[in-house]
Amino acid sequence: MLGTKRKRTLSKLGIHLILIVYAIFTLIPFYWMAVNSIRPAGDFYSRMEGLFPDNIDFGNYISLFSNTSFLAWLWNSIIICILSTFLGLLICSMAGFAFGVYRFRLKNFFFWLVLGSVAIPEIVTIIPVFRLMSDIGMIDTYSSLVLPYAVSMFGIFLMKQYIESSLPMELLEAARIDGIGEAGLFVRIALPLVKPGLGVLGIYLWLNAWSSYFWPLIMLKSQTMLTVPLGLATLYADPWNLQYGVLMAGSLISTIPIIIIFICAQDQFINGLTAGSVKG
Amino acid sequence: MKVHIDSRRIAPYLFLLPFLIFFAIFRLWPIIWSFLISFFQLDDGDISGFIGMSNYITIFHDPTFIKAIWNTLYFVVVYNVIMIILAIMLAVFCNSSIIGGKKAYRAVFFSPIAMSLPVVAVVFDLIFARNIGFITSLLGMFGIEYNYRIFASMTGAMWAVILMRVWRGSGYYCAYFLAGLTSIPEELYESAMIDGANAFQQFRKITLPLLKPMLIFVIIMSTILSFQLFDEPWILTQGGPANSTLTLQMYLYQTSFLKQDFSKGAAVSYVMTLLMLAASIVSVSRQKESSSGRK
Repeated sequence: MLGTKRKRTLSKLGIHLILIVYAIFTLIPFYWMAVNSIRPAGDFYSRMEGLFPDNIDFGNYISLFSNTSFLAWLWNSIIICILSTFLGLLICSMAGFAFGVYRFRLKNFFFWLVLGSVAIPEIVTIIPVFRLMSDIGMIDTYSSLVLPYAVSMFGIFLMKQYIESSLPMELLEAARIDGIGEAGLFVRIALPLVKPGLGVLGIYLWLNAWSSYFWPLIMLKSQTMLTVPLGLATLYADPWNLQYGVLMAGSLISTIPIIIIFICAQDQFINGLTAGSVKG
Repeated sequence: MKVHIDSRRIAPYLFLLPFLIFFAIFRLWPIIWSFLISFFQLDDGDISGFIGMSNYITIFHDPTFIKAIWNTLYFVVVYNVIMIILAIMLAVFCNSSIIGGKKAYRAVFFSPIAMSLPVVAVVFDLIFARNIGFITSLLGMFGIEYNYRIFASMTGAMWAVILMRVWRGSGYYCAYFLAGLTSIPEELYESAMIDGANAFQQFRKITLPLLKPMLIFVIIMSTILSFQLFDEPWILTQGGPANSTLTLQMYLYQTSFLKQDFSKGAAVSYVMTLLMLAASIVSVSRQKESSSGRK
Protein backbone atom coordinates (compact mmCIF):
# COMPACT_ATOMS: atom_id res chain seq x y z
CA MET A 1 0.00 0.00 0.00
CA LEU A 2 1.32 3.38 -0.89
CA GLY A 3 1.91 4.84 2.57
CA THR A 4 -1.34 5.36 4.45
CA LYS A 5 0.95 7.12 6.87
CA ARG A 6 1.99 9.64 4.26
CA LYS A 7 -1.62 10.16 3.26
CA ARG A 8 -2.45 10.78 6.90
CA THR A 9 0.28 13.36 7.31
CA LEU A 10 -0.91 15.14 4.17
CA SER A 11 -4.53 15.36 5.29
CA LYS A 12 -3.33 16.48 8.72
CA LEU A 13 -1.38 19.31 7.10
CA GLY A 14 -4.33 20.17 4.89
CA ILE A 15 -6.73 20.46 7.83
CA HIS A 16 -4.30 22.60 9.80
CA LEU A 17 -3.83 24.82 6.77
CA ILE A 18 -7.57 25.40 6.36
CA LEU A 19 -8.05 26.09 10.06
CA ILE A 20 -5.08 28.45 10.20
CA VAL A 21 -6.31 30.41 7.19
CA TYR A 22 -9.71 30.78 8.84
CA ALA A 23 -8.10 31.76 12.13
CA ILE A 24 -6.20 34.53 10.31
CA PHE A 25 -9.44 35.69 8.70
CA THR A 26 -10.98 35.77 12.17
CA LEU A 27 -8.17 37.84 13.62
CA ILE A 28 -7.83 40.43 10.83
CA PRO A 29 -10.52 42.80 12.19
CA PHE A 30 -8.91 42.72 15.65
CA TYR A 31 -5.54 43.47 14.12
CA TRP A 32 -6.86 46.25 11.92
CA MET A 33 -8.69 47.84 14.83
CA ALA A 34 -5.56 47.78 17.00
CA VAL A 35 -3.22 49.06 14.28
CA ASN A 36 -5.48 51.91 13.32
CA SER A 37 -5.93 52.99 16.92
CA ILE A 38 -2.19 53.70 17.15
CA ARG A 39 -1.78 55.47 13.82
CA PRO A 40 -1.12 59.19 14.20
CA ALA A 41 -4.22 61.19 13.29
CA GLY A 42 -2.19 63.22 10.79
CA ASP A 43 -1.34 60.14 8.70
CA PHE A 44 -4.89 59.09 8.40
CA TYR A 45 -5.91 60.06 4.95
CA SER A 46 -2.77 58.79 3.39
CA ARG A 47 -2.68 55.17 2.41
CA MET A 48 -0.84 52.69 4.61
CA GLU A 49 1.93 51.08 2.57
CA GLY A 50 1.82 47.44 3.51
CA LEU A 51 -0.03 46.22 6.57
CA PHE A 52 2.07 47.94 9.22
CA PRO A 53 1.85 51.59 10.27
CA ASP A 54 4.85 53.84 9.57
CA ASN A 55 4.50 55.80 12.79
CA ILE A 56 3.06 54.83 16.12
CA ASP A 57 1.44 57.25 18.50
CA PHE A 58 -1.09 57.07 21.27
CA GLY A 59 -2.65 60.47 20.59
CA ASN A 60 -5.95 58.84 19.60
CA TYR A 61 -6.38 57.46 23.10
CA ILE A 62 -5.66 60.85 24.62
CA SER A 63 -8.18 62.61 22.43
CA LEU A 64 -10.72 59.85 23.00
CA PHE A 65 -10.70 60.62 26.71
CA SER A 66 -10.29 64.39 26.47
CA ASN A 67 -12.43 65.33 23.46
CA THR A 68 -15.34 62.92 23.75
CA SER A 69 -17.58 61.73 26.59
CA PHE A 70 -16.05 58.27 26.39
CA LEU A 71 -15.26 58.08 30.09
CA ALA A 72 -18.89 58.76 30.96
CA TRP A 73 -20.05 56.12 28.45
CA LEU A 74 -17.65 53.59 29.92
CA TRP A 75 -18.94 54.37 33.39
CA ASN A 76 -22.57 54.00 32.24
CA SER A 77 -21.86 50.70 30.52
CA ILE A 78 -20.09 49.28 33.56
CA ILE A 79 -22.86 50.31 35.98
CA ILE A 80 -25.57 48.95 33.67
CA CYS A 81 -23.70 45.68 33.22
CA ILE A 82 -23.10 45.21 36.94
CA LEU A 83 -26.73 45.94 37.79
CA SER A 84 -28.25 43.77 35.07
CA THR A 85 -25.87 40.88 35.69
CA PHE A 86 -26.57 40.94 39.41
CA LEU A 87 -30.34 41.25 39.04
CA GLY A 88 -30.46 38.60 36.32
CA LEU A 89 -28.41 36.15 38.36
CA LEU A 90 -30.63 36.66 41.39
CA ILE A 91 -33.92 36.21 39.54
CA CYS A 92 -32.79 33.31 37.35
CA SER A 93 -31.15 31.35 40.15
CA MET A 94 -34.18 31.75 42.41
CA ALA A 95 -36.55 30.65 39.66
CA GLY A 96 -34.20 27.84 38.63
CA PHE A 97 -34.12 26.67 42.25
CA ALA A 98 -37.92 26.66 42.43
CA PHE A 99 -38.24 24.69 39.19
CA GLY A 100 -35.38 22.34 39.93
CA VAL A 101 -36.03 21.43 43.55
CA TYR A 102 -39.71 21.67 44.40
CA ARG A 103 -42.85 19.93 43.29
CA PHE A 104 -45.81 22.29 43.37
CA ARG A 105 -49.17 22.62 41.79
CA LEU A 106 -48.56 25.37 39.25
CA LYS A 107 -45.08 24.18 38.30
CA ASN A 108 -45.97 22.88 34.86
CA PHE A 109 -48.12 25.88 34.09
CA PHE A 110 -45.34 28.32 34.97
CA PHE A 111 -42.78 26.27 33.11
CA TRP A 112 -44.87 26.22 29.95
CA LEU A 113 -45.33 29.96 30.33
CA VAL A 114 -41.56 30.35 30.20
CA LEU A 115 -41.19 27.93 27.28
CA GLY A 116 -44.07 29.47 25.35
CA SER A 117 -42.83 33.02 25.67
CA VAL A 118 -39.51 32.02 24.13
CA ALA A 119 -41.37 31.57 20.85
CA ILE A 120 -42.39 35.24 20.89
CA PRO A 121 -39.40 37.45 20.19
CA GLU A 122 -38.36 40.45 22.20
CA ILE A 123 -39.27 42.95 19.48
CA VAL A 124 -42.96 42.56 20.30
CA THR A 125 -42.35 44.01 23.75
CA ILE A 126 -40.38 47.04 22.62
CA ILE A 127 -43.28 49.45 22.16
CA PRO A 128 -45.25 48.67 25.35
CA VAL A 129 -42.11 48.71 27.48
CA PHE A 130 -41.03 52.01 25.96
CA ARG A 131 -44.47 53.50 26.68
CA LEU A 132 -44.38 52.16 30.22
CA MET A 133 -40.94 53.64 30.79
CA SER A 134 -41.94 57.03 29.47
CA ASP A 135 -45.18 57.01 31.49
CA ILE A 136 -43.32 56.50 34.73
CA GLY A 137 -40.56 58.93 33.74
CA MET A 138 -37.80 56.37 33.49
CA ILE A 139 -36.59 57.20 29.98
CA ASP A 140 -32.91 58.11 29.97
CA THR A 141 -32.16 56.30 33.23
CA TYR A 142 -30.16 53.17 34.04
CA SER A 143 -33.36 51.44 35.17
CA SER A 144 -34.86 51.65 31.69
CA LEU A 145 -32.07 49.36 30.46
CA VAL A 146 -31.60 47.15 33.50
CA LEU A 147 -35.17 46.23 34.43
CA PRO A 148 -36.50 44.96 31.06
CA TYR A 149 -33.44 42.74 30.68
CA ALA A 150 -33.66 41.15 34.11
CA VAL A 151 -35.70 38.13 33.05
CA SER A 152 -33.77 35.76 30.84
CA MET A 153 -35.57 32.59 29.81
CA PHE A 154 -32.26 31.05 28.81
CA GLY A 155 -30.94 31.88 32.27
CA ILE A 156 -33.82 30.09 33.97
CA PHE A 157 -33.31 26.94 31.88
CA LEU A 158 -29.60 27.05 32.55
CA MET A 159 -29.96 27.45 36.31
CA LYS A 160 -32.66 24.79 36.50
CA GLN A 161 -30.35 22.38 34.72
CA TYR A 162 -27.31 23.15 36.84
CA ILE A 163 -29.35 22.80 40.04
CA GLU A 164 -30.91 19.51 38.95
CA SER A 165 -27.58 18.01 37.95
CA SER A 166 -25.34 19.20 40.77
CA LEU A 167 -27.58 19.40 43.82
CA PRO A 168 -28.35 16.02 45.45
CA MET A 169 -31.81 15.88 46.99
CA GLU A 170 -30.44 13.91 49.97
CA LEU A 171 -28.21 16.85 50.82
CA LEU A 172 -31.23 19.13 50.99
CA GLU A 173 -33.14 16.66 53.13
CA ALA A 174 -30.21 16.31 55.52
CA ALA A 175 -29.95 20.09 55.80
CA ARG A 176 -33.68 20.38 56.49
CA ILE A 177 -33.33 17.88 59.34
CA ASP A 178 -30.53 20.06 60.71
CA GLY A 179 -33.07 22.84 60.89
CA ILE A 180 -31.99 24.98 57.94
CA GLY A 181 -34.89 26.92 56.44
CA GLU A 182 -35.83 27.01 52.76
CA ALA A 183 -34.05 30.33 52.20
CA GLY A 184 -30.98 28.91 53.92
CA LEU A 185 -31.01 25.90 51.61
CA PHE A 186 -30.89 28.23 48.62
CA VAL A 187 -28.22 30.61 49.90
CA ARG A 188 -25.97 28.23 51.83
CA ILE A 189 -26.28 24.96 49.90
CA ALA A 190 -27.58 25.48 46.38
CA LEU A 191 -25.73 28.67 45.40
CA PRO A 192 -22.22 27.47 46.38
CA LEU A 193 -22.80 24.22 44.48
CA VAL A 194 -23.89 25.89 41.25
CA LYS A 195 -21.10 28.49 41.17
CA PRO A 196 -19.92 27.31 37.71
CA GLY A 197 -23.45 27.79 36.39
CA LEU A 198 -23.64 31.25 37.93
CA GLY A 199 -20.34 32.06 36.23
CA VAL A 200 -21.59 30.99 32.81
CA LEU A 201 -24.85 32.88 33.19
CA GLY A 202 -23.03 35.90 34.59
CA ILE A 203 -20.77 36.13 31.54
CA TYR A 204 -23.77 35.64 29.27
CA LEU A 205 -25.75 38.42 30.92
CA TRP A 206 -22.75 40.74 31.00
CA LEU A 207 -22.03 40.11 27.31
CA ASN A 208 -25.63 40.89 26.39
CA ALA A 209 -25.76 44.11 28.36
CA TRP A 210 -22.30 45.19 27.23
CA SER A 211 -22.96 44.85 23.51
CA SER A 212 -26.60 45.83 23.36
CA TYR A 213 -27.39 48.64 20.92
CA PHE A 214 -31.07 48.68 19.95
CA TRP A 215 -32.55 48.98 23.43
CA PRO A 216 -30.23 51.82 24.56
CA LEU A 217 -30.89 53.58 21.24
CA ILE A 218 -34.56 53.76 22.14
CA MET A 219 -34.25 54.43 25.85
CA LEU A 220 -31.35 56.87 26.16
CA LYS A 221 -31.51 60.48 25.06
CA SER A 222 -28.77 62.62 26.59
CA GLN A 223 -25.18 62.56 25.40
CA THR A 224 -23.74 61.77 28.84
CA MET A 225 -26.12 58.85 29.51
CA LEU A 226 -25.05 56.82 26.46
CA THR A 227 -23.47 53.40 26.70
CA VAL A 228 -20.20 52.56 24.92
CA PRO A 229 -21.67 50.95 21.74
CA LEU A 230 -24.18 53.77 21.35
CA GLY A 231 -21.54 56.41 22.02
CA LEU A 232 -19.18 54.92 19.44
CA ALA A 233 -22.01 54.85 16.91
CA THR A 234 -22.68 58.55 17.50
CA LEU A 235 -18.98 59.31 16.98
CA TYR A 236 -19.18 57.44 13.70
CA ALA A 237 -22.39 59.19 12.68
CA ASP A 238 -20.77 62.63 12.87
CA PRO A 239 -19.14 62.94 9.45
CA TRP A 240 -17.55 66.37 10.10
CA ASN A 241 -15.58 65.21 13.11
CA LEU A 242 -15.15 61.55 12.26
CA GLN A 243 -11.70 60.41 13.30
CA TYR A 244 -11.20 56.75 12.61
CA GLY A 245 -8.22 56.52 14.93
CA VAL A 246 -10.21 57.78 17.91
CA LEU A 247 -13.09 55.50 16.97
CA MET A 248 -10.79 52.48 16.79
CA ALA A 249 -9.25 53.37 20.16
CA GLY A 250 -12.73 53.39 21.70
CA SER A 251 -13.64 50.16 19.92
CA LEU A 252 -10.51 48.47 21.23
CA ILE A 253 -11.16 49.58 24.80
CA SER A 254 -14.74 48.34 24.57
CA THR A 255 -13.56 44.92 23.37
CA ILE A 256 -10.79 44.37 25.91
CA PRO A 257 -12.92 43.57 28.99
CA ILE A 258 -14.67 40.76 27.13
CA ILE A 259 -11.39 39.41 25.79
CA ILE A 260 -10.05 39.34 29.34
CA ILE A 261 -13.13 37.44 30.54
CA PHE A 262 -12.69 34.99 27.65
CA ILE A 263 -9.01 34.44 28.42
CA CYS A 264 -9.86 33.64 32.04
CA ALA A 265 -12.96 31.50 31.58
CA GLN A 266 -13.68 30.82 27.93
CA ASP A 267 -13.63 27.04 28.20
CA GLN A 268 -16.09 26.94 31.08
CA PHE A 269 -18.25 29.53 29.34
CA ILE A 270 -18.47 27.66 26.03
CA ASN A 271 -19.04 24.32 27.74
CA GLY A 272 -21.80 25.73 29.91
CA LEU A 273 -23.40 27.58 27.03
CA THR A 274 -23.46 24.63 24.66
CA ALA A 275 -24.17 21.83 27.15
CA GLY A 276 -27.64 23.09 27.95
CA SER A 277 -28.65 23.89 24.39
CA VAL A 278 -30.07 20.61 23.18
CA LYS A 279 -31.30 19.19 26.45
CA GLY A 280 -33.02 22.47 27.35
CA MET B 1 -53.17 29.26 68.91
CA LYS B 2 -50.30 28.54 66.60
CA VAL B 3 -50.71 28.98 62.88
CA HIS B 4 -48.80 26.30 61.11
CA ILE B 5 -47.49 27.27 57.71
CA ASP B 6 -45.82 24.61 55.70
CA SER B 7 -42.80 26.50 54.46
CA ARG B 8 -41.99 23.82 51.92
CA ARG B 9 -45.27 24.42 50.15
CA ILE B 10 -45.07 28.17 49.82
CA ALA B 11 -41.32 28.34 49.30
CA PRO B 12 -41.40 27.61 45.53
CA TYR B 13 -43.88 30.44 44.98
CA LEU B 14 -41.71 32.84 46.94
CA PHE B 15 -38.64 31.83 44.93
CA LEU B 16 -40.60 32.36 41.73
CA LEU B 17 -42.06 35.68 42.83
CA PRO B 18 -39.36 38.04 41.48
CA PHE B 19 -39.38 36.20 38.17
CA LEU B 20 -43.17 36.32 37.94
CA ILE B 21 -43.28 40.05 38.68
CA PHE B 22 -40.70 40.88 36.04
CA PHE B 23 -42.18 38.40 33.62
CA ALA B 24 -45.65 39.90 33.99
CA ILE B 25 -44.49 43.52 33.58
CA PHE B 26 -41.85 43.13 30.88
CA ARG B 27 -43.04 40.17 28.82
CA LEU B 28 -46.55 38.91 29.34
CA TRP B 29 -48.35 42.23 29.54
CA PRO B 30 -46.33 43.80 26.66
CA ILE B 31 -46.98 40.77 24.43
CA ILE B 32 -50.73 41.06 24.97
CA TRP B 33 -50.87 44.86 24.89
CA SER B 34 -48.98 45.21 21.63
CA PHE B 35 -51.16 42.53 20.06
CA LEU B 36 -54.28 44.46 21.07
CA ILE B 37 -53.11 47.91 20.01
CA SER B 38 -52.17 46.59 16.59
CA PHE B 39 -55.95 46.62 15.93
CA PHE B 40 -56.50 50.12 17.25
CA GLN B 41 -55.87 53.66 16.15
CA LEU B 42 -53.69 55.77 18.38
CA ASP B 43 -53.97 59.55 18.63
CA ASP B 44 -51.22 61.25 20.60
CA GLY B 45 -50.54 57.97 22.29
CA ASP B 46 -54.14 57.43 23.39
CA ILE B 47 -56.20 54.55 22.09
CA SER B 48 -59.00 56.12 20.09
CA GLY B 49 -60.79 53.45 18.14
CA PHE B 50 -60.93 49.89 16.94
CA ILE B 51 -59.91 49.71 13.31
CA GLY B 52 -59.64 45.95 12.79
CA MET B 53 -56.97 44.83 10.35
CA SER B 54 -56.38 48.35 8.98
CA ASN B 55 -52.85 48.67 10.36
CA TYR B 56 -51.90 45.35 8.81
CA ILE B 57 -53.51 46.26 5.47
CA THR B 58 -51.76 49.64 5.41
CA ILE B 59 -48.30 48.23 6.01
CA PHE B 60 -48.75 45.52 3.40
CA HIS B 61 -49.66 48.23 0.88
CA ASP B 62 -46.45 50.06 1.66
CA PRO B 63 -43.82 49.04 -0.94
CA THR B 64 -41.08 49.97 1.53
CA PHE B 65 -42.40 47.36 3.96
CA ILE B 66 -42.47 44.69 1.24
CA LYS B 67 -38.92 45.68 0.35
CA ALA B 68 -37.94 45.32 4.01
CA ILE B 69 -39.46 41.83 4.12
CA TRP B 70 -37.52 40.75 1.03
CA ASN B 71 -34.26 42.21 2.27
CA THR B 72 -34.65 40.53 5.63
CA LEU B 73 -35.55 37.15 4.14
CA TYR B 74 -32.65 37.44 1.71
CA PHE B 75 -30.28 38.17 4.54
CA VAL B 76 -31.67 35.44 6.80
CA VAL B 77 -31.45 32.74 4.13
CA VAL B 78 -28.08 33.66 2.63
CA TYR B 79 -26.40 34.36 5.96
CA ASN B 80 -27.68 31.22 7.67
CA VAL B 81 -26.82 28.90 4.80
CA ILE B 82 -23.26 30.21 4.50
CA MET B 83 -22.72 30.50 8.23
CA ILE B 84 -24.05 27.05 9.13
CA ILE B 85 -22.14 25.23 6.39
CA LEU B 86 -18.97 27.03 7.44
CA ALA B 87 -19.57 26.38 11.14
CA ILE B 88 -20.14 22.66 10.58
CA MET B 89 -17.05 22.42 8.38
CA LEU B 90 -14.89 24.18 10.95
CA ALA B 91 -16.28 22.01 13.74
CA VAL B 92 -15.66 18.78 11.82
CA PHE B 93 -12.09 19.85 10.99
CA CYS B 94 -11.41 20.95 14.58
CA ASN B 95 -12.81 17.70 15.93
CA SER B 96 -10.80 15.55 13.55
CA SER B 97 -8.98 12.95 15.62
CA ILE B 98 -5.77 13.28 13.65
CA ILE B 99 -5.03 16.88 14.63
CA GLY B 100 -4.33 18.54 17.94
CA GLY B 101 -5.05 22.08 19.09
CA LYS B 102 -8.84 21.77 18.99
CA LYS B 103 -9.31 24.09 21.96
CA ALA B 104 -6.92 26.70 20.63
CA TYR B 105 -8.77 26.88 17.31
CA ARG B 106 -12.11 27.02 19.07
CA ALA B 107 -10.89 29.89 21.25
CA VAL B 108 -9.78 31.93 18.23
CA PHE B 109 -12.95 31.23 16.22
CA PHE B 110 -15.11 32.16 19.20
CA SER B 111 -13.38 35.48 19.86
CA PRO B 112 -15.40 37.70 17.44
CA ILE B 113 -18.32 37.50 19.88
CA ALA B 114 -16.25 39.80 22.10
CA MET B 115 -16.86 42.67 19.64
CA SER B 116 -20.26 44.28 19.98
CA LEU B 117 -22.17 44.66 16.71
CA PRO B 118 -21.69 48.45 16.47
CA VAL B 119 -17.94 47.93 16.85
CA VAL B 120 -18.03 45.21 14.19
CA ALA B 121 -19.78 47.67 11.90
CA VAL B 122 -17.24 50.48 12.25
CA VAL B 123 -14.25 48.13 12.11
CA PHE B 124 -15.49 46.51 8.90
CA ASP B 125 -16.19 49.95 7.49
CA LEU B 126 -12.49 50.62 7.95
CA ILE B 127 -11.65 47.26 6.37
CA PHE B 128 -13.68 48.00 3.24
CA ALA B 129 -12.85 51.71 3.05
CA ARG B 130 -11.15 52.97 -0.10
CA ASN B 131 -7.67 54.38 0.33
CA ILE B 132 -7.36 53.78 4.07
CA GLY B 133 -8.91 50.33 4.37
CA PHE B 134 -7.40 46.91 4.92
CA ILE B 135 -8.35 45.65 1.47
CA THR B 136 -6.71 48.67 -0.14
CA SER B 137 -3.49 48.04 1.77
CA LEU B 138 -3.53 44.30 1.14
CA LEU B 139 -4.16 44.57 -2.58
CA GLY B 140 -1.76 47.52 -2.72
CA MET B 141 1.06 45.17 -1.78
CA PHE B 142 0.43 43.33 -5.04
CA GLY B 143 0.05 46.56 -6.97
CA ILE B 144 -3.73 46.22 -7.38
CA GLU B 145 -5.90 49.31 -7.12
CA TYR B 146 -9.04 48.92 -4.98
CA ASN B 147 -11.72 51.50 -5.59
CA TYR B 148 -14.98 49.74 -4.82
CA ARG B 149 -17.34 51.72 -2.61
CA ILE B 150 -19.10 48.70 -1.20
CA PHE B 151 -21.58 50.56 0.99
CA ALA B 152 -22.70 52.65 -1.98
CA SER B 153 -23.49 49.57 -4.04
CA MET B 154 -26.99 48.09 -4.09
CA THR B 155 -25.80 44.48 -3.89
CA GLY B 156 -22.45 45.11 -2.24
CA ALA B 157 -23.83 46.74 0.91
CA MET B 158 -25.96 43.76 1.90
CA TRP B 159 -23.14 41.35 1.11
CA ALA B 160 -20.80 43.37 3.29
CA VAL B 161 -23.29 43.00 6.15
CA ILE B 162 -23.57 39.27 5.45
CA LEU B 163 -19.79 38.93 5.55
CA MET B 164 -19.63 40.72 8.93
CA ARG B 165 -22.25 38.42 10.41
CA VAL B 166 -20.59 35.32 8.98
CA TRP B 167 -17.30 36.49 10.45
CA ARG B 168 -18.91 36.89 13.88
CA GLY B 169 -21.35 33.97 13.82
CA SER B 170 -19.46 31.06 12.25
CA GLY B 171 -17.06 30.59 15.13
CA TYR B 172 -19.77 31.06 17.72
CA TYR B 173 -21.97 28.33 16.26
CA CYS B 174 -18.91 26.22 15.52
CA ALA B 175 -18.60 25.90 19.31
CA TYR B 176 -22.14 24.52 19.45
CA PHE B 177 -21.46 22.00 16.68
CA LEU B 178 -18.23 20.97 18.39
CA ALA B 179 -20.20 20.24 21.54
CA GLY B 180 -22.59 18.14 19.45
CA LEU B 181 -19.71 16.30 17.77
CA THR B 182 -17.98 15.37 21.02
CA SER B 183 -21.07 13.41 22.06
CA ILE B 184 -20.78 11.12 19.00
CA PRO B 185 -19.04 7.91 20.12
CA GLU B 186 -15.69 7.28 18.46
CA GLU B 187 -16.51 3.56 17.93
CA LEU B 188 -19.08 4.45 15.27
CA TYR B 189 -16.34 5.90 13.09
CA GLU B 190 -14.02 3.00 13.80
CA SER B 191 -16.55 0.41 12.69
CA ALA B 192 -17.44 2.51 9.66
CA MET B 193 -13.77 2.63 8.75
CA ILE B 194 -13.57 -1.17 9.01
CA ASP B 195 -16.54 -1.35 6.64
CA GLY B 196 -14.52 0.78 4.25
CA ALA B 197 -16.48 4.03 4.45
CA ASN B 198 -14.48 7.06 3.31
CA ALA B 199 -14.40 10.37 5.14
CA PHE B 200 -17.27 11.88 3.15
CA GLN B 201 -19.49 8.81 3.64
CA GLN B 202 -18.75 8.89 7.35
CA PHE B 203 -19.77 12.53 7.43
CA ARG B 204 -23.05 11.89 5.62
CA LYS B 205 -24.04 8.67 7.36
CA ILE B 206 -22.80 9.28 10.90
CA THR B 207 -21.88 12.88 11.63
CA LEU B 208 -24.76 14.70 9.99
CA PRO B 209 -27.63 12.54 11.31
CA LEU B 210 -26.25 12.55 14.85
CA LEU B 211 -25.64 16.28 14.69
CA LYS B 212 -29.26 16.90 13.76
CA PRO B 213 -30.63 17.91 17.18
CA MET B 214 -27.88 20.51 17.51
CA LEU B 215 -28.41 21.61 13.92
CA ILE B 216 -32.10 22.19 14.56
CA PHE B 217 -31.31 24.13 17.72
CA VAL B 218 -28.79 26.32 15.89
CA ILE B 219 -31.17 26.92 12.97
CA ILE B 220 -33.97 28.09 15.24
CA MET B 221 -31.75 30.29 17.40
CA SER B 222 -29.87 31.81 14.51
CA THR B 223 -33.00 32.39 12.41
CA ILE B 224 -34.67 34.29 15.23
CA LEU B 225 -31.58 36.36 15.94
CA SER B 226 -30.83 37.15 12.30
CA PHE B 227 -34.40 38.26 11.62
CA GLN B 228 -33.70 41.13 14.00
CA LEU B 229 -30.81 42.45 11.89
CA PHE B 230 -30.47 46.13 12.73
CA ASP B 231 -27.23 47.41 14.26
CA GLU B 232 -24.76 47.16 11.38
CA PRO B 233 -26.94 48.38 8.48
CA TRP B 234 -28.46 51.11 10.65
CA ILE B 235 -25.06 52.46 11.66
CA LEU B 236 -23.41 52.09 8.25
CA THR B 237 -26.07 52.81 5.66
CA GLN B 238 -29.31 53.70 7.48
CA GLY B 239 -30.96 51.26 5.11
CA GLY B 240 -29.50 52.68 1.90
CA PRO B 241 -28.49 52.82 -0.87
CA ALA B 242 -32.05 52.98 -2.22
CA ASN B 243 -33.43 50.87 0.66
CA SER B 244 -31.25 47.92 -0.35
CA THR B 245 -30.26 47.24 3.27
CA LEU B 246 -33.55 48.26 4.87
CA THR B 247 -34.54 45.51 7.30
CA LEU B 248 -37.80 44.76 9.12
CA GLN B 249 -36.39 45.85 12.45
CA MET B 250 -35.36 49.16 10.87
CA TYR B 251 -38.84 49.61 9.46
CA LEU B 252 -40.20 48.84 12.93
CA TYR B 253 -37.87 51.42 14.47
CA GLN B 254 -38.77 54.08 11.92
CA THR B 255 -42.52 53.51 12.21
CA SER B 256 -42.63 53.30 15.98
CA PHE B 257 -40.02 55.75 17.16
CA LEU B 258 -39.31 58.18 14.35
CA LYS B 259 -42.92 58.50 13.13
CA GLN B 260 -44.32 57.73 16.59
CA ASP B 261 -46.98 55.42 15.15
CA PHE B 262 -47.11 52.81 17.90
CA SER B 263 -50.09 50.81 16.73
CA LYS B 264 -48.67 50.39 13.23
CA GLY B 265 -45.33 49.52 14.83
CA ALA B 266 -47.04 46.85 16.93
CA ALA B 267 -48.56 45.40 13.75
CA VAL B 268 -45.09 45.31 12.17
CA SER B 269 -43.69 43.50 15.20
CA TYR B 270 -46.38 40.84 14.98
CA VAL B 271 -45.84 40.34 11.26
CA MET B 272 -42.15 39.87 12.06
CA THR B 273 -43.00 37.32 14.74
CA LEU B 274 -45.16 35.30 12.36
CA LEU B 275 -42.46 35.38 9.68
CA MET B 276 -39.85 34.24 12.19
CA LEU B 277 -41.97 31.36 13.40
CA ALA B 278 -42.83 30.37 9.85
CA ALA B 279 -39.18 30.47 8.80
CA SER B 280 -38.10 28.38 11.79
CA ILE B 281 -40.83 25.81 11.17
CA VAL B 282 -40.10 25.56 7.45
CA SER B 283 -36.35 25.14 7.90
CA VAL B 284 -36.71 22.64 10.75
CA SER B 285 -39.26 20.51 8.91
CA ARG B 286 -37.00 20.50 5.86
CA GLN B 287 -34.20 19.21 8.07
CA LYS B 288 -36.45 16.48 9.40
CA GLU B 289 -37.61 15.51 5.89
CA SER B 290 -34.09 15.29 4.55
CA SER B 291 -33.03 13.05 7.40
CA SER B 292 -35.96 10.67 7.06
CA GLY B 293 -35.50 10.62 3.29
CA ARG B 294 -31.95 9.43 3.66
CA LYS B 295 -32.85 6.43 5.78
